[in-house]
Amino acid sequence: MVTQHEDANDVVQNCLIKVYRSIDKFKGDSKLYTWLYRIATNEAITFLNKKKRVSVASIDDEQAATPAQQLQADVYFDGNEAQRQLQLAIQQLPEKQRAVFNLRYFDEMTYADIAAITGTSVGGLKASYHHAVKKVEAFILNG
Amino acid sequence: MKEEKNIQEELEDLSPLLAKMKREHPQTGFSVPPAYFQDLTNALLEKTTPPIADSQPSWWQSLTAQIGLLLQPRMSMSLAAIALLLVGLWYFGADSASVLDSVADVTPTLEDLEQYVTANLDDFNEEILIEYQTQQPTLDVEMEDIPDNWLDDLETEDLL
Repeated sequence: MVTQHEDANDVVQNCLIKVYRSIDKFKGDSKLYTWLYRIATNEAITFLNKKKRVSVASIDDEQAATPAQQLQADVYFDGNEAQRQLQLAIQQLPEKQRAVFNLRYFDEMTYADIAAITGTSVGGLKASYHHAVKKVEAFILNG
Repeated sequence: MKEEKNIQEELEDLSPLLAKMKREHPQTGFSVPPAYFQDLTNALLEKTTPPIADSQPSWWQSLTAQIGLLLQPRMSMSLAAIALLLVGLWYFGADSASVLDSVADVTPTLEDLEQYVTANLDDFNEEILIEYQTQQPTLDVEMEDIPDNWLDDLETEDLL
């Protein structure tokens, strides 16, 4: 969801703190890992939205790095060019669609589990994933 | 395994390019920094554990803290409202007592009323006065109850 180590670190810590404080509220009506994934996904989306508001406020800052530059400069990204293009393509997706794509493409989750995490219907998830795949493919092919 | 196969087949149907990329490079490309999770524990404990106070606050610090608490908007507004209420009760309470006294001073006496009627007799409506006089309840007294000596002293004019 996030492509910088500092952002990922913040999201992970916020997520674990929220899990620590909310563990009493887990009623067991869903799987534990889907509950954890739900918290992590919501924290990541919240973080991205907050970061987007901050970046809009400083839109005149010409020194702000592009996503490609940020990915290039990240020391903890050691993928090849194809993986870099894929990550840049995923960053173009809206936050919720990005989450669906990552959960299905990388984590290979079932639509039922993704529905429990995102609160979206299975049919809606299938449509969202299909659109996401097409968008990512088009971005990679068009450079 | 069946679900994974379904996911791969689904991707093949949607985008052979992405399906090929997934077969060749299934990872995201991001790596975890060394000793990250060991350091993560300490970082989280620092964020979740409240700091221990070094020493007991001095009397001056506690006094300034209490004054600061009183200056909080909610507290100061409450105190101001209570003060206004007390001032209003004291002012209007005192004011009503003086009003009652002044009303007592204004109440006319019987002598004042007689003087007024005498001075302004011409302003009174004679018809209303006569009507009022004639409507006065008469003595419901039987003639037999009146002593005889009273009747002897009674003049005709007294009966009008």
